[in-house]
Amino acid sequence: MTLKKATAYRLSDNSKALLIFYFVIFAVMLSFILRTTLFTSSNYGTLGGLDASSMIFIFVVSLIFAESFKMLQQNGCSRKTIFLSFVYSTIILAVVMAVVDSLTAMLMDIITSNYESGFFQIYQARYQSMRSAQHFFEGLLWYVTAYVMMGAIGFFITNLYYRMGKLLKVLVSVGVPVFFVIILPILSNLTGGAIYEGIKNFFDFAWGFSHGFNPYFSMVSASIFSVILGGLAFLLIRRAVPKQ
Amino acid sequence: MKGIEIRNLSKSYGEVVALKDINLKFGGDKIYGLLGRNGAGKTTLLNIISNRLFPDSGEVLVDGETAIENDSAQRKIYMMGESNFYPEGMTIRQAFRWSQRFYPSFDRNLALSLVEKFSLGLDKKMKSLSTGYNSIFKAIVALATKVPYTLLDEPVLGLDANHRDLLYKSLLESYQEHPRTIVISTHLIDEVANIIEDIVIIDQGEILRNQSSEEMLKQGYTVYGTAAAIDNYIADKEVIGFDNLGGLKTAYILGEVDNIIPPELEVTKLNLQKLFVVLTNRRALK
Amino acid sequence: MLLLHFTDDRPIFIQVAEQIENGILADAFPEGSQVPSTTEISVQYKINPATVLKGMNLLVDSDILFKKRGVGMFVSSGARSKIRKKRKGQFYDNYIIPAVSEAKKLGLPLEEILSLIERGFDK
Repeated sequence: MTLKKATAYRLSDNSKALLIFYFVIFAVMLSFILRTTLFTSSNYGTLGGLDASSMIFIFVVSLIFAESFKMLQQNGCSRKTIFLSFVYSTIILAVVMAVVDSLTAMLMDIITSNYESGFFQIYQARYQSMRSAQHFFEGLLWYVTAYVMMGAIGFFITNLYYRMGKLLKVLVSVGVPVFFVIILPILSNLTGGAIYEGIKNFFDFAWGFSHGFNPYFSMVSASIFSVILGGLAFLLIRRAVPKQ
Repeated sequence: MKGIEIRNLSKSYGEVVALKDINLKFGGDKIYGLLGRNGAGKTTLLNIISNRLFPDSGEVLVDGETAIENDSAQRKIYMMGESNFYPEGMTIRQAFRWSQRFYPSFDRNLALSLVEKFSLGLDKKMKSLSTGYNSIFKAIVALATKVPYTLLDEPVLGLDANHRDLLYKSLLESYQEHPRTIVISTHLIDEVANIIEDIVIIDQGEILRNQSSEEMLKQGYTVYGTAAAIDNYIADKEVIGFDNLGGLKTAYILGEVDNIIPPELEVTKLNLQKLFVVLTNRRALK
Repeated sequence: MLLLHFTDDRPIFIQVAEQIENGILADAFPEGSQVPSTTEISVQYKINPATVLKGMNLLVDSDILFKKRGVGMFVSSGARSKIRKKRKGQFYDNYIIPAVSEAKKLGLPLEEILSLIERGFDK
């Protein structure tokens, strides 16, 4: 009962931002179509990666979760319900956006030959064209898992920051970039590049690059990653207390 | 098992003990006054009942089931807290719509009539509300949700005298139309003295008094007269304080006025505010 | 509407009863007429309804008011004389005793007290 209402609140809270987001996206696409169809003589390059914008969108929406937390708590939702409402609303949002983005990609491909979705750019070795049914359905599934994962990342980060004290926040904010920019390269050099090689191999495997650009590898990896981050976020939110 | 039952509840913030093994019951469709000085533990108690804070030990039961992390118990509670938990960009109208969604008992007509009485704009956003109107908005939702247990933490914060008067009247009106348990936590004791039926005094995390307002007021009185006469009179009484003025003395006494008062002494009742101050001061001195 | 003054330190429910009695004595509520409802008094004077009801019931018990189910409270016939009688009984305790004790403090002799009462009476 309460879960349904909480999920509805989350979706309604996101819907306004979603409409603005797609308004901007479609405006960009329209201007691209107009340019390429009106002035066909010159080469304007290809437009792509608009699905990457969707990933950023769902990441940011999940990152600003604290406001919903307070609102839902004011309205008698337990932390478990709040967590589940996030899971459900994020999955629904991911499915809706995946459908819209897949359809848009197909439509754009029909209208203009200069469009390539991010998904197609990564996995094009597997597909002959963006118009095939296989591309459409595999893309759809891939989007859903990728968007959910982006949501899980945002949700985990926001919960982590919410539960951390000031000092810990600073340490993490400084420590994580320092680790990736300074410590990791040093370690990698010390090991003769073995660490970088290992990371690259891991991601090539996880995203299916090393297996004939198979997107199912990445779908499974994203799902596992989402479950792990979601689980960690649940542990964090379980004892969260609203801040004044 | 109707009512909110608090059993052996304790809570500390690091070294600071906020609640010490509290046992308490709210219920019976009564209006309670939860009185205590600043930092006595009032807000902590209400925040634990409304599942915002976790207790260190003990339990809170709402109609027999736990209040902690329990949607079905929390659905019966509405907590008007110190800060506004609604999103900054939300309008009053939207907040009402969601309140109605989460609490089916939400009385939209009551909310709208109160909005009019307090001249609050329906399209105002949360972030544009002054401290006073913040309180008014929160109080309106709290009254209109009409849940069995309404918790009001300092409900008149930042309100001017007119709005305070209006709020108390609206509360009594809505309460009589739809009797329910209301807990008012406040330090403005004189204002609520006649409104509340039962009194809970909390001090340094402990329950100091828990009884009906009438019983409570019977308990304290002052006698005034010459020092010698007073000292003679109070020999067998529980005295909780003195005021001296020259050769004259005022004694604050706990207990009911007895029938045999020497004619040279003047007796007055202690009002709730005075009784409260004397009671909590006495503990502070100990 | 009746004007109530809750100034002294006696229990509120007794004051509620007394103020309604005053209204009846002043003919603001003639015998047979309806007195304000519990809700009206409670809201107007910001008093807990249980307290108001207790005061009203005091008057019902002494046959000054009577209940009409689902309608409200009404002034009984003979209420005024009943109140007068009761108040006369209390007059000595409530007014004479304190006046005399104050007079004694001030050292006023009996003749002077009596002449003061006469002065007040003729006013």
